[in-house]
This record gives sequence, C-alpha cells and structure tokens, in this order.
Amino acid sequence: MDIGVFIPINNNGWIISATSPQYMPSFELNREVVRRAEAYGLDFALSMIKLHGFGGATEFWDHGLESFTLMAGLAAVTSRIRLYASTAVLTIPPAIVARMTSTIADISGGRFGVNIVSGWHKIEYSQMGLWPGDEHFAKRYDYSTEYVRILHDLWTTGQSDLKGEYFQMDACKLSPRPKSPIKLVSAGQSDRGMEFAARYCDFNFALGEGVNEPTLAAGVPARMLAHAERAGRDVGSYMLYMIIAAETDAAAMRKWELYNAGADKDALAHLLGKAAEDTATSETSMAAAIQRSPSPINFNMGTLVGSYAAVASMLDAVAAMPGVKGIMLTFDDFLLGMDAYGTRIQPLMRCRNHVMAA
Amino acid sequence: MQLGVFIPIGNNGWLISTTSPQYKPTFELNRTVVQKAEAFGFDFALSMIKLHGFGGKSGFWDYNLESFTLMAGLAAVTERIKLFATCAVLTMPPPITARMAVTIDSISHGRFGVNIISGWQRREYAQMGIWPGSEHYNRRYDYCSEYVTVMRELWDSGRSEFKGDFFQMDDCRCLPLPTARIPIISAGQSDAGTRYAARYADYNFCSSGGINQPTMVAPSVARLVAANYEIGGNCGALVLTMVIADETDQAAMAKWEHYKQGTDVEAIAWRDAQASDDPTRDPLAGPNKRRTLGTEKLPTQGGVLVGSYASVARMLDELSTVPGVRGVMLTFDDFVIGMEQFGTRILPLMRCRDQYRMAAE
Repeated sequence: MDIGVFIPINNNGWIISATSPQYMPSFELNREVVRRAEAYGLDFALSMIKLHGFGGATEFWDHGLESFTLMAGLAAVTSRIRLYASTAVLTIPPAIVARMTSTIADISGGRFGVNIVSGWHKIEYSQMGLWPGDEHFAKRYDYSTEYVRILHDLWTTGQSDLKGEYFQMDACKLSPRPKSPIKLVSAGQSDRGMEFAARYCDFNFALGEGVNEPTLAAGVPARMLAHAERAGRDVGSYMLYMIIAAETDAAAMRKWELYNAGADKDALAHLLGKAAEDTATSETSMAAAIQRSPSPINFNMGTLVGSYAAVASMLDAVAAMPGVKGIMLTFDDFLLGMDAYGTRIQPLMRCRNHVMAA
Repeated sequence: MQLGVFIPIGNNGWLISTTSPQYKPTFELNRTVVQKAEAFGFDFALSMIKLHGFGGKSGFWDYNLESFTLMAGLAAVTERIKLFATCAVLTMPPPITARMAVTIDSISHGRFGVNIISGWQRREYAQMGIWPGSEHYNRRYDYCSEYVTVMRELWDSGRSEFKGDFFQMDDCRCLPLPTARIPIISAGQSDAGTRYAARYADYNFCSSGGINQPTMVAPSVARLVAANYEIGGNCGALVLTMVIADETDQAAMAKWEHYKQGTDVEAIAWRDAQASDDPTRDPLAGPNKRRTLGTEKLPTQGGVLVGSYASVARMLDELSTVPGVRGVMLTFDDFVIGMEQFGTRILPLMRCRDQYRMAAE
C-alpha cells in the first residue's frame, strides 16, 4: 500500500478555521515535511495548484506557492521519495509542462509525475482573463484529453502533431525527454472524470468521506475500478484522508472540536458559493460533495480522529477497500503530524509492514 | 562590475560547432557550474529558455531544459548567488510567472529575478500554436510592458486590475508577496527594446561583438545610457561575453581556431532564416545585429575574449571602464574547466574586482 503526503502549498493546509494551526506556505516548511516523509519511508509527496483563495478572517488559501517550481526545489533536496506537481491545464501550455517535467525528472533522477487539474474553480482563471466560458465545466475533460495526449506524444516520441479542438501542434519538439515513463494522475470524482483517469492516467485521487468512517467512501474506488475495467487498464485509487491524532481518542477529538469551533464562516461561504457555480455538476462530483457536507471545515475530507492505534487501524481499513492502491495524507499540523505518523502510527499499520521491515 | 554566468541549459552552450566541447544539459552540470561560481564570489547565474533548436550536424540547442524549474532546483542547493530564470512572455500568463517567481524567492530566500524575452524565433511558438503572427515583431515591447506591469503590481500589492491590449486582469490575486524585490532583466538591442528596458527593467543585456574587442559594446551601452537619461530610468547594462582562456595567448587562440573549423553551417543557416522573419530595419535588432557586428559566420553569437588568463583579465578590466556597464555575464567553451580556470587564474588578476576580493577576505 503506497502512502503519500499532500503537502501544504497554500496557507493553513486543509482546515478552514481560526483555531487550527495557522501557517503560511514556504519552501522551508514543505522541505521539512517532505524530508521527514522521505525519512519515514513514505512513497510520494504531491502539491496542488490553487490560484485563488476563499478569503475570510483566515485568508484561507489566499497565499499559495506554485507547484512545479516547488517540486523542482524539493527534487534537488531529496533522493528517494516520488514527487508530483499539478498543472492547471487552462494556464500552462502542454509543451511547456512537458519540458518542465523533463527538467524535474532530471533533477530528481526519475522520481517525478504530473497531476492533471482540469479546473472547476472558475475565479482562478477568470481573474487572469483565462476562463473560456461556462461551457468549460462540461468540456474540461475533452480539453484535458487533448492536453495529456500532447504530453504523451512529447514524452514518448519527442514530437507532437496533434490537431484538435483546443490545441494545434505543428511538429512541436521536446528534447531531452524524461528517461523513464512519467506517471499521470488526476482527481476526478465524477464519472466523466473517472473515465478520463481510466483512459489516460496511472491512478486517480479519491476523496475519503466522513469522520472515523474509513470505509464509508468504498463506492468511490469501486466506481473507479469499474471504469478501469471498461478501459482495460490497471488504474487504482489513492484515497485522501486527514489525520488528527493524539495519545488518546479523547485528546484527538478535543482538537477536532476545537478546530470546528473556530470555523471561518466567510471563507466557507465563498467555498460553497463557488462550488455552486458549476450547474452542470453531477451528484458524484467534487463540487457536489463539498456542498453536501454538514461541517466542511476540511472540505468534507475523510477525517480520522483518534489515538495513534485507532488511526493505524482505520488506515488499514481504508487500505483494504477494493481498488485502493494508496492513501494520501494531510494533517492539522504537518510537522507534528508527520512525526506522529512516522513514529507512532505507521509502525502499527499492517499494510505498511514491508516499510517497517526495511 | 558585477560578475555573472550564463549557464548551459542548452546542449553545447554557445558554440555552434562540432569541434567544440559536446555535451547535453543536465541539472548535475548546471549545479556544478553554479556552485563553483558561488564559491568564487560570482554575483549571479542566469538561464535562458529555448523551445526549439537550430538542428544541423551538432543538433545545436535541440536539447534544452526549462528555465524556471532549473533555477528552482538550483535555488535549493545554493545560498548566496543571485539566480535569474527567463520567461518567454508568449508562453505563460503573467500571474503564473509571478507566482513561480515568488516560489523561487521562497526557495532562495530572496535571491531571484526574472529575465523577460519577447520572442524572436517564430518556430518556438508556432510549433505549439501560440504564435500571434508577424504583428508581434512590431508590438513585442508593448506586450512585454503590459506583462511586466501586471507582475510588478502582483509583487508589490498582491493584486492587479490591469486592463491593457494584451492582458485583462479582473481583481487578480497573488500571495504571498516576495520576501525581496524581484529584479527584471531584458535583452533589447533595438531602439524600441532599449527604451522599454530603460523604463521597465533593472538590467539589460547588450551583447558584445568581435574577437578580443571588449569595448565594441560601447555604442549599444551608450544607447541604453541615453534612454535612461531621457526616460529617467536606472537600467544597468550587462554584457554577454564568451571566455576562451589558457596559459598563453597562443594556446587559447589554437582552441578558438579548432572550434571555428567545425562551425555548424546548417545550424547557423536555420538560425538566420528564423531571424530574417522579422522585417525590422534597426541595425542593432537581433536579425541585423550579427551583420552589423561582423559575427554572422562565426560559431558564437556575440563577443569572445580569447587569450591567456592575464590577457582575459585585462580585457575584462577594460570592459568595466565602459560608461554604463554594470556587469558582465560569461560563457565558456567548457563550463566546468572554464569556470575553474576563471575563478583560480583570471579573477585574482581582475582589478575591477579588487573591492569584492577585499570584502571577502
């Protein structure tokens, strides 16, 4: 079972609250998180790209670094952990992403992959005059399909001549090419998103659900398995969970309640409002999931709150769901959380016995 | 006079030849060169962006890394030297470039700047369907002006509402702010380019010409100085110069002759055909500059200093006396050997660097 960390490239990580740990994104913070993750044997680290925040008293996600340059820096100071950067496909031409990938593949010695973000948060693009119109909501996976086909052409043959609806390549060249195949990932929750992942990606990120309900979201990796089977490809799910752990269940729950008590209501209103702009959303989409949640201080992210032993057991339960190939973690405090994971939780995880034995 | 290195992000550096050192660009090579430069007290390192090569027998510049990600990696493994990445403005939206710059500012603790290039080689952009047409040649500096304006607004205040011909921001946001001011470099030689530089840039590249003619750059620098005066700018001239050095003048000249023998005429022909797509008549604009300076058939683009360590030191001292010159950016035939020789044999002889040496001691 692969374990990875979703690193805090935007302020305050994934908790929209004034009573959770408050911190700015910096290279130093992310380097420390990833250094520890690598030391504890985690398999990968990934950063998202978020170009506009949700404001509020905590200025939630108003502060963010850029993903490719962050991972390039991290590539230079790590040696084993795999690294993924995210491309918001409306913003950077695929030929440029292809070359950035060759560069980070070289810096890292072949440890780099790319997360394809098709884009649902309109304001991230409209603020810079890049929103193609609301029809993009429905067509973003068609757009992303052309995008990844160009990436694939360039990485495997050094040339692309794709002429599609969104991109027209004319003997576009790329050299050097990455020395080993580049893994592509995406985070589609809708059927269309999973179909895209099944056909073009190596795995798909899926949101966990609920608080201390590690298998509540079982339907998500199951749906991805079905899409993968239809496409005839081996594409699994990486589940996203937040870990809030302490010595005892009660102590952990006290932290969770404290964070909820300080929910940044203005930021949440913006978040829910933006998700509601996508009127083409299906019930299964990310936007719909966020809107459904009763207390979305962490995007209705699947949350595991408990003692180290309880969390370890719940992570094993997540890992056991059919279609799950990995788990990507976030924390309330990333430095303390990563240390606790590495020293107190992982040693108790059956699905990580192979790492502990090494 | 500030000292910089133009690092080999493209294969074979800046010698378009089959008899010069042949090498591919790697992070490892660039890290070695930059760490050496930092140890020798260089002020900055800069990488260009080249999205399409010139081909030919040497496959010149067919292999190129990407500049921002390269400098981000270098930022993580250096501590003092300033780092510049190059942005091809036709390829990336200004708020994205601005955020990348803030990220590298974070990695480097305030040692990062951006070199803005407008684009002269049509193929680089046409290959990916983003060439705006030949009107770009006339409007490239208007485009760059808007681009830099948006970035400055984001870096200064975290917001931009700029609305121009090429870019329209709608309450665009970008935080965090950089920890230090991010300098802008440009590389304009024409009248329009020089005036744009005086107004918007902190430094402008003026490429030199000729062999062992360090002051040949003087008229180009004088144009920048005049533009500064007229516009009220303070843009410093950076001079791009290749160093081919050895123990004696003769040994160095023998290397240079050897490199010339293998000049890749096919690659040069490609370059010149691309450049001639721009109909400008300005004698110092890219396509015409090489003819004006007499370098069009040579395996280098720009001026070269060929000589013993003492001769090169003397010529660099001479360059430093040209009014308006604020720094020199160096290339080498072999970057690892060249940088090592420069630091240990040439730099100690450079009088214009005395003050830096004494400060370091």
